[in-house]
Amino acid sequence: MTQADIAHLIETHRDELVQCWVQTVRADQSIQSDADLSEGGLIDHVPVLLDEVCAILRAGEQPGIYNMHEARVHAYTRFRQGYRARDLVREVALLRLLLINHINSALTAELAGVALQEYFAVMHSLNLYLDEELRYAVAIFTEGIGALPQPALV
Amino acid sequence: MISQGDFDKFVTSYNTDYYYLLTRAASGSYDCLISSFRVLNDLYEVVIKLHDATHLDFKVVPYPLTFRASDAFLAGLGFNTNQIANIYGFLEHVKRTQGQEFEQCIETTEPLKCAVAGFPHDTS
Repeated sequence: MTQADIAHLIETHRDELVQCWVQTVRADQSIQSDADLSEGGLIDHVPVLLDEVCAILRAGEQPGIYNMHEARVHAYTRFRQGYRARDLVREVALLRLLLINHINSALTAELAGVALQEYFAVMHSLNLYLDEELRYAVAIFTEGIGALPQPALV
Repeated sequence: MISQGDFDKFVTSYNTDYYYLLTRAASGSYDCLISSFRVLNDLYEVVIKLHDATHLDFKVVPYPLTFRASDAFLAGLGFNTNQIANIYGFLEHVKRTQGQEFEQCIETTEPLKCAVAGFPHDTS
């Protein structure tokens, strides 16, 4: 099983994963910023973000400036929605755990012959992608204060 | 070395251009718009790279370049439902006329086909 196969594992369960993530975020008492968001507002960019993760895995690329557009859109939208930075970190952490658990479960259930090297390459890319999103988020949450007078998005 | 003030102006300029291009898409004026977005993508990458590799801060936050499934973001910029539909229509227009998704088109170095009125331009 290759990185592309693992991308397929995510893609084919994308909507289910997003729904599960929404429920997990809603249930997390430490996250408060989601309270005023509709389901659509909360889901926002996450499906497209997962598509981008899958595209990176399929291409065997490293996440970086040129292939992380959707991660930046997600961080930016949360910034504009008036999200607390720590809530964004938490929701990204929940997404990370969900994806890791999904990949582990799927690989275990299918008894798939996945090479350890491929598995670690996926984990490496996935973690780097989400960490780079958070790095970008830290920049816009902390450096851009007061830079955008527009009303918060809902 | 670029100063913070110059960087802020650079990002502001990028944001202004970006908003202008979105306004064109929102009005359904798609002609050769993808070429402009490709140029803007180059600017955007410079902004991100400068921020990434230097001491410069995002005092002015750049708009994210891609806008697929970004209703909240687009509404926040002041676009109404019809205009947002037109903006998404531009993504379909690019796919139809260029044979590639918008995100691929702005990254590739392949020549773009100038498309007028929703169809690939006939060069014959």
